[in-house]
Amino acid sequence: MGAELVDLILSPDGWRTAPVEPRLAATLMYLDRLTREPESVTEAFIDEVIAAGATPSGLESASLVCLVFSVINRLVDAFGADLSPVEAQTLGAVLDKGGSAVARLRGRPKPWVRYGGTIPAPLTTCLQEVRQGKGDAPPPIRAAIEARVARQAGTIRPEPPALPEEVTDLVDTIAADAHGVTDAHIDRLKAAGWSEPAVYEFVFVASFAAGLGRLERAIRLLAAR
Amino acid sequence: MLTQPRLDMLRTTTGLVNRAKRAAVEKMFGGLYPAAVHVMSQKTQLDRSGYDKIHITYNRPSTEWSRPQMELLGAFVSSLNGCVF
Repeated sequence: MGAELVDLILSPDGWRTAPVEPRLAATLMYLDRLTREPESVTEAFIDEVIAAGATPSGLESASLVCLVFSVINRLVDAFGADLSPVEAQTLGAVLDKGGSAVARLRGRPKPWVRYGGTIPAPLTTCLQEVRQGKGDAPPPIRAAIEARVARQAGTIRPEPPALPEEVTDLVDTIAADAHGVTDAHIDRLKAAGWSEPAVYEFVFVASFAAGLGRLERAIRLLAAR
Repeated sequence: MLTQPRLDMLRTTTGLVNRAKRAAVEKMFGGLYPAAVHVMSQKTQLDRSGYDKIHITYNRPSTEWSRPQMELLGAFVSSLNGCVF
């Protein structure tokens, strides 16, 4: 795939007209919805993208990509990252080289093993740690953040208890648009007495829940297909 | 890079092991310390190893998508999130 085509796919709405194979075009349509409006990913929409050329296992695999980037995008944006064009070029070249090396080390591609409606075990473990494990932030607060953001990401959770206002302000911003996190959010949390490691955990849990909520919704809808 | 880290704990790398890890990453990335690595390397008492393991699955080659296609899908999600990574 040429650089111009990649640029077109990554430009705002460019993917809608990019000349790519139907399976990829349908998967981009799916990822657009799952990332921006997860609650609008329904059984009917899944059927639509499959009819347009996507495959259930390809959609599951793409949903994992959505989880990974939903988390990392929020973490770096919330903590104050930027990327110059020179850095982007350097990182891109190293990652290309590294990705190829990893692929060689890990051998031949394997068929995707379907989730069957169940989230992968490592994520279940992480979810349990978030809810009940040791940490710098209190587990009930972490559990409430996870439930609040996962619900916003379109998955099923019981109504969580109310959070302190300064925490709600941070996690709702991370869930909706992590660019919107400012120094004021962090200062407010610190002024309320939260330690830096606790604030880090708030950000991680909100980011994790945004990714997990999307993946859970996708896996549930794809299970019967 | 984290140009303006919002937490003091992200401004410095403490401990011999952590500094060695950072030096190795910077060598690999031509002197850069990628923000994604930076934020994920930060340790607190919360065990996040389950989440870390999912990256192994993400990096595993599958017959569904080639490696460049996977990276394209990742870049696509980042662009939808308005994120530079």
